[in-house]
Amino acid sequence: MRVDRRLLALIGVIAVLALFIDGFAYVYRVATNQPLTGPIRGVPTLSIPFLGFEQQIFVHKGLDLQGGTHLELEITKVRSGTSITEARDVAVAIIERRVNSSGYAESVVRPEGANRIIVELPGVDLEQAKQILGKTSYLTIWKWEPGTSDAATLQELNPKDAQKYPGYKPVFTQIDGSMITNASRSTDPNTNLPDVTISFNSKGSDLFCAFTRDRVTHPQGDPQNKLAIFIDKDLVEDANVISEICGGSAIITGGFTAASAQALAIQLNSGSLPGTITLASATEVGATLGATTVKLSLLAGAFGLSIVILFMLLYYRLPGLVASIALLIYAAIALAIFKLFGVTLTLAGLAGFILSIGMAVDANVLIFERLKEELRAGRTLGAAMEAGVHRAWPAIRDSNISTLITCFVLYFFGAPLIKGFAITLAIGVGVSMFSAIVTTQQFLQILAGLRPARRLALYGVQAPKAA
Amino acid sequence: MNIVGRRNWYFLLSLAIILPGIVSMAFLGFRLGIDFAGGDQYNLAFTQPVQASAVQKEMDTFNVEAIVQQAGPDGVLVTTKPLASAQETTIRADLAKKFPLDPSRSSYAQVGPTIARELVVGAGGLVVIASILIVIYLSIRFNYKFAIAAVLALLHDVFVLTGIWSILGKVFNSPLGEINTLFVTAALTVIGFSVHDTIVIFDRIRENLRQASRLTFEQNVNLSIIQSLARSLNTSMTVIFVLVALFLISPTNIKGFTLALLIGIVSGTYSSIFNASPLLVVWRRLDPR
Repeated sequence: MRVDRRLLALIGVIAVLALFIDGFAYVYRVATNQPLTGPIRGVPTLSIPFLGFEQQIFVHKGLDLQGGTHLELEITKVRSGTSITEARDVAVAIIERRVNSSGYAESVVRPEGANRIIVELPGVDLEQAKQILGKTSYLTIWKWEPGTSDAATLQELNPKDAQKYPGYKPVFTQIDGSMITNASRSTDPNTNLPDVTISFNSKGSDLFCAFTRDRVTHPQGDPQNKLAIFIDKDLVEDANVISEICGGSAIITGGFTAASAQALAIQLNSGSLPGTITLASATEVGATLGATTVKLSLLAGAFGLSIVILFMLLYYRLPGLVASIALLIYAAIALAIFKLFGVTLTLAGLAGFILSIGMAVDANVLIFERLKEELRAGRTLGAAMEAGVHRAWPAIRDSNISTLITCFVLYFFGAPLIKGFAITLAIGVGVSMFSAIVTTQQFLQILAGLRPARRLALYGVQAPKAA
Repeated sequence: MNIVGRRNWYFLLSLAIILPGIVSMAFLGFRLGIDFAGGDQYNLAFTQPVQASAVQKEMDTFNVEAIVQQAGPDGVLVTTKPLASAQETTIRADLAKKFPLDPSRSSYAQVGPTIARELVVGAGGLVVIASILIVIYLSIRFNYKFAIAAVLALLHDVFVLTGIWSILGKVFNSPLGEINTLFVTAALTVIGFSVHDTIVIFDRIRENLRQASRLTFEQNVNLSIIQSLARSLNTSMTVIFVLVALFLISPTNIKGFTLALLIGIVSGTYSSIFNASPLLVVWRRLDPR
C-alpha cells in the first residue's frame, strides 16, 4: 500500500480543525479585543453566516467540576385528573420560571423519567437552592370556625398553627393552589407599599367570591374574619378580609417588604404545582473543590500522557514516536468533539477520557507488536507495516466494539453520572480507532518511504539472519 | 513458557483471591454509600486541621446515626441517616459555627430512599445486560465457547473487585471500600476492559487455528498466549501508569474510583492471560468436539 495523499490531507484538515476548536477561546478573545488571560467576557461562539452555522464552543463543565447544586426532585400525590407526566411538565415549567426569575442563567431544569425533575444550579449552594425552589409545594386556603381541631386536621396541619386561636378551628374552603393561575408582587397605588396580587381560575374565583362574602359579615379582629393560607402544613398568611372579592383577582396587603412580597408570590405560584414535590436527592459541591478537581485531573492526564509517550518511545522507538504524534492528534480531536457538541464533562467523564487514552495506545501497541513479528519474519518494511495493520485489525475491531457495547448499556440504562462517563469513553474509543487505523497507518507508510527510516534497529528489531 | 500446562495453579491463585472476598461478601456484606443506602453525606474541608473525633462528638448530639471519618488533616467525611431539610440546615449551621469550615472546598450529597432502591436494581441489571450483549457479539465473531469463557473471565474480575471492596469496606472499615455509583462505573469499565484484553488473545487463537499446523489445541492456545503476552503486558502497563498517576493525586471523592479501576485492570489482565484461554482448553478436554 502506498501513502494515500487524500487520507493524509483528511488527517491534516481534521487535526487543524480540531486545534482551531481547542484554541477557539483564544481566537474569540482576539476577535473581541479581550486580553488573553483572565476571565472571559461572553460565550465563545463560532458563526459562519453563509452556512447558517452558529455554535457555542466551550467546555461544558459538570457541577462536580464547576461547583454548584444538583437536585433531583420527585413528584408525588398528583391530583386526580392529571397524569404524572403532565404534572411533571407543568412543574418543570414553573420551576424553570422561578429559577430564571432569580437570575441564574446557566441553570438547567429538565424532566428525568416519568416523575422526576433534575435541577442544576451552578455556583449556588444548597441553602440558596432551597430558597429559590421554595420549601413549598401545596397551597390551601382555610377559614376559622368556632370549635376545636380534630385529630385529622392536626395531622394535616402544623398543630401550633391549627390551634392559633383558642376556641377556633381551621376549616378547608376547598380553594387550593391549583386554582391560582398567577401571583405576582405589586404595589398599592394609594400607600405605595408592596403587596401581592393573585389571579384565580373561574372555579377558584367563584369559591373565593362566596368565601369572602361570608367572611366580611364578621367584624374585624374576629378570627372568623380572617383568611388563612397554609402551604403544606404551615400557616404563611393570616389576613383580614376587608371586602368581598369577586372577579377573579385578589390583593393581599399587610406589612410586606419588597422581598417578603416577592417570596409570598413565589410561594403562591408554586402552590399551583399539580402535585407535591419532594427532594429525592441533592448534591452540593463547593466552587474551589471543583476547580481543584479539574486541576488535579488535568495534571494526572498530562502526567499519564507523558509516561505513556516516554514508554512508547523507549520500547517501540520510531513507531513509538509515530504513535505519540497520533496520540496527541487523538487527544486534540476528542477534546474538540467535547467542545463542539457540548458534551458535559464531569469527574467520571474526565476519568473516562483519560482511560480512553490508554485504550487508544492499545490499538497502536497491537499494530506495533504485529509489525515487529512481521519484520522478524523477514518481510520488507512496507509489507510488514501493511500486514501489521491488517492483522491487528480484527482484534482492534472486536475489542473496541465490546467496549462500545458496554458504553451503550451504560448510556441507555445508567444514572446521569454514569452517562457522562459512557459518552466520553465511547467518543474516546471511536476516535482512537480512527487514530490507530488511519493516522498511525498513514504515518507508518510515510516512514517506509524515507530511506533513513529503514534501519530495523529503529523498530526495536534485530535484522533477521540471512536465510 | 507453559502457561496452559500449569493452568490449575493459576485457577487456584484466582480462587485464593476470590474466596476470602466471597466469604466477606456473604457474611459481612458491603459498606454501602449513600447512593445505595440513602442518607446524607458531608465532605467537609476546614481552614485548619480538625480531628474527626471532635466532629463525631458534635454530630452525636444530633442523634442522626452519624459516622465521621478523617479525610486528610483538614477534612472529614460525615455520613448520616436521611435528614429532613430543616434538620440538615440546623446541623450545617452548627458545624459552621463550631469548626473552621471552608464551604468552597466542601461538598454535600443527599440521596432519598426511592432513588437508592432504583440504583441497586439498576447496577445489577447493567452487569447482566452488558454480559448478555457481549456473549451475543462474541458468539457471532468467535463461537459460544469463546464467548462463555470470556464472560467467565469477566465474572472473575467482577468477583475479585467486589470481594476486595467488601473486605476493604467491612474488615478494614475504609471509606475507600464504599459501594457507590462511581464504583459501579468502575466495575462496568473493568468489564469492558477485561473482555477487550481477552478478545485480543482469542483473536490470536482464532488466527492460529485457521493455519494448518501440527500443534494440538492446547499447544496452540499456549502459543497464542505467549505471542500476545508482550502486547497484553504493555497495554496494561500504560493504562496502569495513567491510573497510578490518577490515584496518587486524586481527591478523596474519586480515590476509591481510581483504586477500583486499578484493581480491576490488574485482575482483567491476569484473567485474560491465565483464566480465559486455559478455560477453553479445559472445555475442549471435557467436550472434544
